[in-house]
Amino acid sequence: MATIVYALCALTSIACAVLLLRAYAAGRVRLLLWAGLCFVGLALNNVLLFIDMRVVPDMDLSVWRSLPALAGLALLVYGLVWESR
Amino acid sequence: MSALISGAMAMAYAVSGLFFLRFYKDTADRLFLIFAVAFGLLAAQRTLLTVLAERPDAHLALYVVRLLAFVLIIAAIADKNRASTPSG
Amino acid sequence: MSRGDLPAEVARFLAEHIDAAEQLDILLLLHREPEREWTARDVSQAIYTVPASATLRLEGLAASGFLASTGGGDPCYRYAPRSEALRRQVDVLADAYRADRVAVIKLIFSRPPSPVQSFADAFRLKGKGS
Repeated sequence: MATIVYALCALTSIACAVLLLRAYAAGRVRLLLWAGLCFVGLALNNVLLFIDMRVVPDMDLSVWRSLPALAGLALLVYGLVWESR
Repeated sequence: MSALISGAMAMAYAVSGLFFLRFYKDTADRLFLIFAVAFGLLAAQRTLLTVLAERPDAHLALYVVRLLAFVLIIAAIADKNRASTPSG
Repeated sequence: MSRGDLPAEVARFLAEHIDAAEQLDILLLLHREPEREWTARDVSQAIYTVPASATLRLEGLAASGFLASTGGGDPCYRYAPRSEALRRQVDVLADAYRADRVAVIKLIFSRPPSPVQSFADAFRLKGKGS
């Protein structure tokens, strides 16, 4: 059950990342780059969550798995503030 | 440390959600409204994870909230691609 | 002014203020009769559009400082640029439009979409324009 949740979240993030980065490659609109990278970070967050819970249950990766998401979100906020107009 | 990171993430989700809300107001494109709600849910989920850190039994419910947020994002993409309705 | 050769300031003005041909039509319509007060319905009939769309454009132009609005539930709008510079720019635009309508329209349509619009468009699986 939990596995399905993590997988769906990861897949959705990857899909968003692909769509945004594909559009960035086509038109070079910088906001799409930052948003795409954000979803890459969220995808990594979900993948690491899965690894933390299922693969290495004896280790606690909670800080490590958050860092990609935090980095991605920082890029998104930067992009929204500077590149949305 | 992890509370600091969680707080920063919750704030980033919330701020992004506000930007999406404004984009919805500017463009009337439903995608932005759905993204705003989804990011708001992610902000709430991140906050509650920290507030309820001592209650591991609540964590599964919180991951369902995260799932709901991502399902909303899928719905936004599906809605955008429904050929019959130009949503913006 | 020679054909096919729009002044740079016209191009700048269009890039900054005009994102649709309908918006240009409305601005120039009110510019032609500066003393007249228009409701959204008047404008919509004059340029063959729906009142809701006319209202959106009129409110936008008023917010940008081109028109004065009486406010309230069914406002009247009048051409009243906020500054002399703006007034002059619209006059130049009107002349350019009269001299070479096609070039002005082409410039409006070649304008790149806003980043926000591009974000929404990115989620079209088939890509824009298909």
